[in-house]
Amino acid sequence: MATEQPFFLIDDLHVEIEENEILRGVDLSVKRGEIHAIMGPNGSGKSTLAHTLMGHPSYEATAGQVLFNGEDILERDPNDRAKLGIFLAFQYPLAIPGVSTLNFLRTSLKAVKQEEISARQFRKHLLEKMDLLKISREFAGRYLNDGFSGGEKKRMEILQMAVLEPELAVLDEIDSGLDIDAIRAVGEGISSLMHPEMSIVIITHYPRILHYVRPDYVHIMVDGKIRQSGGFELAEELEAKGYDVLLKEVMQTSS
Amino acid sequence: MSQSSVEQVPLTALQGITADAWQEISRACEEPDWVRDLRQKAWEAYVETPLPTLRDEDWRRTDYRELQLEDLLLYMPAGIEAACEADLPESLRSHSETGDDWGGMVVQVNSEIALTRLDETLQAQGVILAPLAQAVHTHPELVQPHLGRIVTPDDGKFPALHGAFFSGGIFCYVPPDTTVELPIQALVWMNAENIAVFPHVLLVADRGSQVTFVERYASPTLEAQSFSCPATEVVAKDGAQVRHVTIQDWGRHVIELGFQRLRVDNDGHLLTILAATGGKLVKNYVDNSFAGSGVEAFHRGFFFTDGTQHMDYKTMQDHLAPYSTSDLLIKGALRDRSRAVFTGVINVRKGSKRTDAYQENRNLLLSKRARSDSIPILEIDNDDVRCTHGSATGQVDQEELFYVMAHGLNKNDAARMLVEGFFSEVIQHTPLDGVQAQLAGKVQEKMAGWQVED
Ligand SMILES: Nc1ncnc2c1ncn2[C@@H]1O[C@H](COP(=O)(O)OP(=O)(O)O)[C@@H](O)[C@H]1O
Ligand SMILES: [Mg+2]
Repeated sequence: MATEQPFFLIDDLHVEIEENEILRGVDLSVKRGEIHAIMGPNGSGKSTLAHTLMGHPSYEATAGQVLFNGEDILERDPNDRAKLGIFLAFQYPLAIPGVSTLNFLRTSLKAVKQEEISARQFRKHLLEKMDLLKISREFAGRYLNDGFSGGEKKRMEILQMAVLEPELAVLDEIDSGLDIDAIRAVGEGISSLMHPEMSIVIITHYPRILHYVRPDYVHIMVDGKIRQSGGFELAEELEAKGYDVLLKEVMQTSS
Repeated sequence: MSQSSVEQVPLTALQGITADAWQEISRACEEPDWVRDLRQKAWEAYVETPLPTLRDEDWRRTDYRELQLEDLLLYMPAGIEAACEADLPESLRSHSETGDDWGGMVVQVNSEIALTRLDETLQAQGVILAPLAQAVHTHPELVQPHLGRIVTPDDGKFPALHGAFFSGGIFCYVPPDTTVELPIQALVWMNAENIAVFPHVLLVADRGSQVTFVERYASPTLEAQSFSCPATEVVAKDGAQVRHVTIQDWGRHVIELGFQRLRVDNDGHLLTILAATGGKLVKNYVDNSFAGSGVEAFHRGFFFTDGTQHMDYKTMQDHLAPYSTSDLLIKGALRDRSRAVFTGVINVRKGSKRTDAYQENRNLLLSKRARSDSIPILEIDNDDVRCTHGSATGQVDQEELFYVMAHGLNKNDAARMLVEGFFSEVIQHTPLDGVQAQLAGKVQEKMAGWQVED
């Protein structure tokens, strides 16, 4: 196992937005079947990392590399990354008025898998996933995220992940703005989709969702860098102490 | 006496905007005196009204000086005789056949009506669908109260010109409390160049009636210029429910200066859809006049320009009576070096208390060289009203683009999806499935070859 090449590797990644360095050397190594949690205070660069992994044009990687199945993807367009099997659940999902959830996801699946899927076949596929995630079928015909509540949008992101079946899912604060019950529903949904051939990087500020999506590794990001890594117990420690205390300790040990 | 002294010019050679020319049209149609009087009054107004110029507020963004009105033929026969739709040329049917089931169809080709068909069930209901030139003889009691009285010569130079020169023309009447299940289509088709057409639509929906009416203007694209100067008059009497669709899909050689007015009486319901994609230079007034109280009006529309097209649409929500609601959304997209002007007027007249009027215009610039103007005008002569408007013009949203690309679509496909979605919000309100699909297809056609700019 130790000699197996990680299928997803971030190596000393530096990222700038408008010439401000936000990520200052991020390292992360993920094997198939693993769940990694990245935690950190607001503004520490978690979403910057997520956007960079998906290829957002405003984020410029100035150093380092991101390897997916051994290939550096940093020069790739977002759509190519999606085709490789990378999926990003957005912290702030966008509404696409005029495009139904069903049409959006069918077009997306066709693009990602690069194959034709009949409307009937797709409908069946989508409804199965909706039932599995306990999402009302009525959402299939509604314009994607248009007028959806915060919680509904987050559940749509999970539905997308279920439909697109990525190899690597990066979930950016999939739990933010959700109440306790919704966190549970979303968390259980995610873990029901997990399988040994896929990996999840779950980004979160709060440890709660990690009780449902139990990570193998937990990383604490502060100020654009992963400062501490550990197992699930690190999340528990954070839960017990809070960010203030833990971060003080983390910064002391890393300096 | 005077008739015989004038040298007889065949209709097909009429040229030059003169009194003789419109009189010739009137004579050839053997019009009743009252119609001739309408033309006479319109002609007088035309002569008195100065040509609008770039100095007029309404015209300062639309320069129509390329219009060579004096060189155009003012009457062009249809040259097509059709007993039924199957007899019509394929090019024309590709527009009119939408997959919907049409209860009635009138086709004007150039200056003449080539086909009128009305389902027997509709005839039995007392619905009338006829060439206007015929209806002025057969149904003067229904035509005379409205013809030239909804859109009048006082509405401007070109409505006045239309009033003197109209030819062909379509009349539709729906009797009181009659629900017309199947939609009716009026198609104006132009297949010649160097001509001017003056098509007229008069739709009267009597008390408590319901009707869906589609007006379509289409032509192939030809080399030389042609001119369309249409007028549409719609009357929805008390409690009538009218769904009215206008599709402007002229060829790229057509200059159009048109005027449309829909009058709604007490408790009338109006749904209008406007879809404008054609023409070279188009300026249209779309005037909704809420003459009665308790009117509910819902307007959706879009324009899509490309190449060097110029479109100028001015809508009016004219509240003349209290307790009416109107809601208007017009969306535009502009490609290449095209230009669009949208002016949206809400006019709440004195005494129109409790008016609730909403107006929104959203434009997408699909090219850095395209230019659009959006001009909201609110004239409110009242306190007790609610009036809101919104206007936004911008490019394809970069964050939306990233979101769609992150789902596997390349940049152009992602942008196309966003543009189609943008229009779909309007098109979805079109009452007929076939027309809806046709308009969506038109949007796709307009997007062909488009590349998103960085
Ligand atoms: N598009 C942007 N433009 C400018 N600054 C940004 C942008 N996105 C993020 N930042 C900045 O980068 C830093 C990290 O933000 P972010 O990655 O969103 O943090 P997190 O997701 O951990 O809360 C913050 O200081 C934020 O202000
Ligand atoms: Mg964030």
